[in-house]
Amino acid sequence: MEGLIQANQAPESRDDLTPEKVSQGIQIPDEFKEAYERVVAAGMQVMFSKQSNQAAVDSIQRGDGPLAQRLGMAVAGLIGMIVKESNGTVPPQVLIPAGVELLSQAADFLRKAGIEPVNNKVFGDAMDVMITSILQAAKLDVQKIAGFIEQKAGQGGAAPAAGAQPMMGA
Amino acid sequence: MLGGLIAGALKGAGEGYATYAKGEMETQQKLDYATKILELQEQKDLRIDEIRRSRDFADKKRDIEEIDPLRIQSKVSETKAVGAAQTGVEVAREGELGPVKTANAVAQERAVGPVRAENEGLAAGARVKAEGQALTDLGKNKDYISALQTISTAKEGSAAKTQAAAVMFELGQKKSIFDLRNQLSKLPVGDPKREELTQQITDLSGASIKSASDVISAATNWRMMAKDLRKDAENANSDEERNAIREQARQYEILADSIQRTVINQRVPGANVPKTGGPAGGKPAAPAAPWERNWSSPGNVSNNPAP
Repeated sequence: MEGLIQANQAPESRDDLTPEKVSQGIQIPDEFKEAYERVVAAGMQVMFSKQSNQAAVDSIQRGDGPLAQRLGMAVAGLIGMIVKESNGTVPPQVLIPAGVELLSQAADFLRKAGIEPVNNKVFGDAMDVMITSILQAAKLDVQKIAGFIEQKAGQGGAAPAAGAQPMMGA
Repeated sequence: MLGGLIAGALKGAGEGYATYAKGEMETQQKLDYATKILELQEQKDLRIDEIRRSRDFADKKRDIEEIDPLRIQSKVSETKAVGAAQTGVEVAREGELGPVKTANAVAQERAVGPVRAENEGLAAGARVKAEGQALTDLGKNKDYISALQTISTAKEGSAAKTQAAAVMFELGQKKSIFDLRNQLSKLPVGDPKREELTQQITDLSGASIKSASDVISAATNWRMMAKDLRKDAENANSDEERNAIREQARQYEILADSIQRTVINQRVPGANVPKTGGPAGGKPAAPAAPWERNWSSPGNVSNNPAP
């Protein structure tokens, strides 16, 4: 997964982390681009279509805990729903980057619509919650993944190959 | 037969076509997702716009409710009544309690109770007398009588109610200024209370001017909200929803028209106001819209006669 996401560094109190800036930091290998766009399109459809927008906003506002927690959990839930609906055809490699993209879109929406004050710190914390939730839902240990990536990096190899079994929906 | 034709046409070049078609399909699919994401960005912007406008809508509605003419009128009356009572009591106490204060502190303490009661009675009497006089004067005022008739003949319905409310508001303003002017006329020149009463009259006149302008601005707000609703109607999902939104917009437009005409009729009785745009039916253009006048000019302060 290393290399897929390049987190932008920005002062915590600012709220200038736009979806465009976040997208620039997401690099998707060509073989995953289509799947990535498919997940992002599906997620945006759920979040912003007239029929489901209110439900999406409710899922963020009615959750437990601080805003970052609610936002991160809501986007993780959305990713889980997409994976489930796709019958496991979504490659696991795209889940986190697509989640980050959707999270940035959701944060931008909440901020611009004046629903919630999402600054860079909230966004960073929400991203942390979302990634942890997705990995936990996939029953993957963060430490193991970190170790695996380090091991691959040491061998000069890449992240898990395309065609690997889906992590989620099992 | 069609299959045979295609097979014939592709004969020899079949592999090349297949490869091209596959590549084209892949490109098209990628384009489709990219296009879809762009379309969804537009959806996102639309939702943001809707939420913002809905919030503006709620704010404007609250603002309009805040300047509800009836509520302002009762507020003015309340302030006026409290002010008048306080003024009356203070004047009376100054006269009666002054000697007691200088005579003896203990006696003053004993005297305060009964004197206060007596003074309050005197003040109340004076106030009732002044109000009676003011009402007598108002009873002779043609505009006042005409306005009362408007209220009594107002039928049920939002437009009529709005008109009645605006008339009530104007009447409240007029009566308050009458009361204060009556009090002022009874005070001798040089009395320090004159300045205070003059100030109250000025304030009330100012409130009247400001409120008239606010009511016009409320009409504009209703009209803008109606315009927003008509925009929403264009994006409605079904005919039923579209019709419901349009009906709501129509109600807002009726309210806006009603408010505007009421204010104009109060200021310029008989003035004809075009609903929108220029004059219709080849009629001459209406005079300059009353809301374009300088309401802050003292010369425009309604029909209040001099004290």
